[in-house]
Amino acid sequence: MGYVGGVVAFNAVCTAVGFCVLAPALRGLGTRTIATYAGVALLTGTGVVGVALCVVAPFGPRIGLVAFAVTAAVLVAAGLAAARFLSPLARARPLAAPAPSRLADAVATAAAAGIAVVLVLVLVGGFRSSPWLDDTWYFWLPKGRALDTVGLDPRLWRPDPSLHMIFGRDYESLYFIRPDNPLWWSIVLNLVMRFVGTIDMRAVNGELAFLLVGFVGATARLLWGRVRTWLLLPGLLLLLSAPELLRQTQGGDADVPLAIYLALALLAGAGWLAERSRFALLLVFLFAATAIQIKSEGVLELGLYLAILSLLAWPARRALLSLWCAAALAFATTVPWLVWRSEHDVSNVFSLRNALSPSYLRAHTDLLRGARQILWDNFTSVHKWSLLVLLAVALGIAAAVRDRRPVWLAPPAFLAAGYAFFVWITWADPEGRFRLVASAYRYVTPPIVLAAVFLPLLAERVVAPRPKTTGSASASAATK
Amino acid sequence: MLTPLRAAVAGCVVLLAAVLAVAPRPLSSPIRKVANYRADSREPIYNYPLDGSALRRAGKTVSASGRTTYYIRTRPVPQLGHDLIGATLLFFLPARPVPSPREADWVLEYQPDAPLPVRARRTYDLGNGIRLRRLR
Repeated sequence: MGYVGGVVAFNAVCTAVGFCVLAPALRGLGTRTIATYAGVALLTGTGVVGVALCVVAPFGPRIGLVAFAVTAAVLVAAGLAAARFLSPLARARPLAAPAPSRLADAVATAAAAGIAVVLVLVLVGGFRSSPWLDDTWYFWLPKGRALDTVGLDPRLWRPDPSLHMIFGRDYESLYFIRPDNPLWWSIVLNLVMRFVGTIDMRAVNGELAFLLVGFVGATARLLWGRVRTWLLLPGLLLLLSAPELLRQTQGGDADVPLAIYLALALLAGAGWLAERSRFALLLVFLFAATAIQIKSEGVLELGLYLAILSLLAWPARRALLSLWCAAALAFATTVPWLVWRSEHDVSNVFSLRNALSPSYLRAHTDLLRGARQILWDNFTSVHKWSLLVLLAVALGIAAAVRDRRPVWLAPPAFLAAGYAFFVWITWADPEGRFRLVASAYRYVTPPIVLAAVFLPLLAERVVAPRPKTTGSASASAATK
Repeated sequence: MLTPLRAAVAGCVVLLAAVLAVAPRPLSSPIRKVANYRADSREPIYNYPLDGSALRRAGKTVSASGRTTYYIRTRPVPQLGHDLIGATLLFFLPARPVPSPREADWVLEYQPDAPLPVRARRTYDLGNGIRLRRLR
């Protein structure tokens, strides 16, 4: 089949699973409308199959093609049965975009063509490149291979000084580094390789390219009809053309998938608060569960950004309980992994004790200065992230001032909180100096992509007529 | 729906992209970077120039032996050791690395200063100073 065919086949299967999982919510829609949910289905299928396998992995089975097939079959059957026999709890509510003027139509069309060109280049480039970051072949993919060939063997995960080897002046460990990271990305990468039939590192970037295509498709679908196309499509093009996002999509690491799922979880959360759409709430659960299972910091970032959204959308507080229940349910999927880690002494590389210890932090203020500067440089680099950060801040403030509603400050607040969070993490990390050099450019990816995904909404709010709502209903309208 | 206006605008964008793609640097640089004009091979991009095909062949043999153990013997170069551990974790599973040849079923000798003084049941010469030795 070749590595391209293998990656295409894997994504086709995941998309099919995603459509079946979403079938109860898509029931009754026309075929062409359902097809517009392909991006949502791809990310749902890849996410939910991976999450399900993450849940069962700590119980010992080998996570290979058989486990994938069984899990996919169960999810497909459950989705189709729910669509057939249950009354729908959640329904997708696609909106049609209003007819634009000729100029607006031309702008939207140019942006759409630009998006198509960039995505084709991303796919072509992905399949022509091996990941430039060594983490991919050093531990992400080998962990997936280990899960496939021997299951979750603690000897490969548990830090053990007797498994160190000296090479010259340095030592290397014979167990996996970053053993605390969840298993989703490792499982997905191994499944891709199993579909390919051999270890071909170009398939990693091919998969990342597919996830990015799915992300653009999903974002466009979720915002379609809610934002004018001449704002939505250029906004997506701007996000998609950020040089650092494209570079990291060929890096092979888990930061881009984390950014994608985190951004969609928060976007769906905003959709729930604005429209009380249960479909949006379902997506919050699916995307949040995946984000939590990608990297250790996923759960912390999700909690932080949800807290910001909750605070700023306080007038819609009656809806917050459901939002947090969905997040709690998503967190529950990681409990087997956390229990397994606890049983086998696989602790987090990040120490909460250090992070909360004034004496420790006082003794490492030099690291604080470095963290502040390096992370600031990465957050504000126009060379790396184009105008995304600048626009998120400017449009957020403009929309908040214009509507006199703090909820529009959420995207700038995501950025500020992301910055403060990673400065603090680095400050409290004994390996902070090394990680600043090795990873600071990746730390900023999720908050920037998250803020950027709200750009079309902010732009819409700035150009739209001022809403006349008052009182507690305002937050609902404000995020609409 | 495809209207004449949309077709014309989209055509212009695609044409512009095609012109940029074949233009000399620096005009074509962003597209060259994203499309990766100089394609990579299927191998990992190692930090140290490892012989990827020899490691794949060694991996095929070791992984076929099941849940065995292996020891890495090489020169005292940190980056070389780092990359060999990663490469063997990638290709040798389900076999597990061990820190001592006494515990090992296999030894991977990757261009060592001196071969390991052990008696091997079988030796596979993978070329370029790389040998795989079955101890048990």
